[in-house]
Amino acid sequence: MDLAFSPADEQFRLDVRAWLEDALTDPRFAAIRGRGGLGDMDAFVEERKVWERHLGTGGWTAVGWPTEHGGRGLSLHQEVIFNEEYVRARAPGRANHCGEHLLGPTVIHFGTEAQQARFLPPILDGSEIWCQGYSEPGAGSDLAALRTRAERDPATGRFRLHGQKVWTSLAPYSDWCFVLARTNPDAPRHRGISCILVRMDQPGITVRPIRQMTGSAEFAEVFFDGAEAEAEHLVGPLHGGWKVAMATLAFERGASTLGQQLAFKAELERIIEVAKQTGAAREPVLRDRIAELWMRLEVMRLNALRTLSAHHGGELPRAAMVQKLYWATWHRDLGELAMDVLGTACALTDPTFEDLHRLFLWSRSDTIYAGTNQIQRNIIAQRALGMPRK
Amino acid sequence: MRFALDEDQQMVSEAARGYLERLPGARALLEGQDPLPHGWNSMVEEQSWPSLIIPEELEHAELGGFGFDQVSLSVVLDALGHSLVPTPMLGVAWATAALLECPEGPDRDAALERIVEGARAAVIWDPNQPVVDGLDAELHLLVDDTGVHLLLDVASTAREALPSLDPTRSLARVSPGATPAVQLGDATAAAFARTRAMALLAADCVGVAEATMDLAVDYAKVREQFGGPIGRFQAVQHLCADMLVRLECARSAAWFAAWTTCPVANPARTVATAEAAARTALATAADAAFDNAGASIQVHGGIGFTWEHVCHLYFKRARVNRTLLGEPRSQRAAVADALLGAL
Repeated sequence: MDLAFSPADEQFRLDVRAWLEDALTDPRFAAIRGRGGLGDMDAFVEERKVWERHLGTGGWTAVGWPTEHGGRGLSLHQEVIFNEEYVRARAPGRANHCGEHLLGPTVIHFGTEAQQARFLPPILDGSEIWCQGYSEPGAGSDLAALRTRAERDPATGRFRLHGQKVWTSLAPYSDWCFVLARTNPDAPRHRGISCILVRMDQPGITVRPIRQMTGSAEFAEVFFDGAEAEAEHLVGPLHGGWKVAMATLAFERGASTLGQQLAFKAELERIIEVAKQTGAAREPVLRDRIAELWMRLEVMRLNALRTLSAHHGGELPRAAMVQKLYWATWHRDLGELAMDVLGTACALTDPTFEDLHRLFLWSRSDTIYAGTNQIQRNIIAQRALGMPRK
Repeated sequence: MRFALDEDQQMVSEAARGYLERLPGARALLEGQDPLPHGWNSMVEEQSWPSLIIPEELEHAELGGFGFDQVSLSVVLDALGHSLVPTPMLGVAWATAALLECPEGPDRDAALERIVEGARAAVIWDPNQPVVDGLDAELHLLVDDTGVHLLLDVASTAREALPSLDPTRSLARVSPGATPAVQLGDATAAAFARTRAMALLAADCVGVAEATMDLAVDYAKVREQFGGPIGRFQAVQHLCADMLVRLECARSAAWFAAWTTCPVANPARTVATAEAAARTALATAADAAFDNAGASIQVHGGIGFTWEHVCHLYFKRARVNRTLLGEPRSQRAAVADALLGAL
């Protein structure tokens, strides 16, 4: 066991820190520091697009992509460090998360050379923003039930889309959407799906923001009514989109977990400060819960370190398979603690505590998106413990 | 950065698990048989567990140990919690860690040498509380807020066996009274000794948490009701999934505590970092062991409630473990003091 990063990695940390600190003193970006994260994704989007381009000029987009595709080719450890420093610097929430972390790796893995040449550079320089068209009103946890149709013209190979996507983050601001659509309605449901890249700015697409219980609108519904896609914008084989989609979801190497843990730590520290002000810090039951959440957050960090250390093999370690369920539940509990620490003050939407209300309300989504807690338990039972599906 | 077992640690772990699997184990206790037919001394000869963390050379003694860090000892405690084979190893491990916190000297090194030779040992953390492995110990340490003390006349120390809820754990009342003692380490040594003991106990809990999960999962795959294995039901799967979550968290915390509290592994340790890691590990692992042992009984249904099944032995081990160095809620109270200031 060796729990320190190497001296070269620590030097890299200092380089990242210096670049970010310098960049964020620019008045264009100083104003949006700490904004645009989860629960706040619809804030300052245009300014964050400018920030995305600025990151690109410094070579700080797609730091984990291989260099032959224009990425920085960072090791997993350095990518972890980059994410930690990004959080520590309170840099703005990334406007192109979907492009960099989902679509980009998918095109690198499954795309043609022409697709790579067309789509990767604008992600690297921050000029094209992507959204993800997977979930539908009738296909949430059961994604393979999706019904959006893409009809292929046999002569030209072009696609024409009909249907509806939902929970599409940043759809109103995106240039492109990667869509899972049914291309063969007669095939078994996993074998008739294709992954298609669709330009957002065209007739036949309507975007309608969804206002959430937080009051903000970070997600949208996307309606396809005859929208078109080029033949060469099919990624992977025709009707082979399910495999592409599953791989897309597996590209995440766990590089963001320590950064996320740091962000959570800042939230807990904020609540501890409030508890000291409100007197909640003197209530034994709340002290117990604060200490318990502190311990669970520390364990979250340790699980992440174990996962990173186990990552040279292909098999996902068990410590990795529990992470989503663990952090989501932790974060929801933190939101509830925040209100208990506020006490009667939680009844009022005081701007001083706006962040705590946002945490309280937003964290109800954590145990739902990216696999509900219940789906996570199914996955753990069936994949990690080998329990029977039927 | 690598947070995983090293090759040596992996080897010790596999050897311990393999060795313990071949012993009759705790079930023998239920059947009135000797769970250690070859005795403690043959166990020491074959596995050398007491020597693992003792330095290779001792200034004032002939014999030495292997000089490993405490993670290697933790994986042995983990294996013991997993197998429930009753041994005096927890007392020996606690005493060894406490002695290693004290400066070198003839008394300390002689005590360590006796441990290498297989002497049983015990640590009295509180004279008013049951002492683990205290009845048969040949070495007694008293560790309190003032420091680490070695009792000099063990033969004359009053002791009495106590009826343990956990039949795999030997508990005794030990009354040092006026027994002469020599102080080997100061208050800081005592504080570190306590954190290391907590890390070791946490490892025992991890073994319990894993064994009870494995028993439940294996049973759910073969027990049939309503025309198929009960493990196909989500209600049962979710109980088991939560057991895995608790196990992995407990293991991460226990490894980290073993590493953080050990000066060989982590020369930069402080009492504050050691205490935070040890409290987190013990609270997390003691809860994981108890909750998993309880959930395991639930998954087993009626059979898990019988005397013949091992479920209750794990359940009792888990319950008693929680009391030995402070309940999880006491650990959280201490962490709260550090975070929020004492009340």
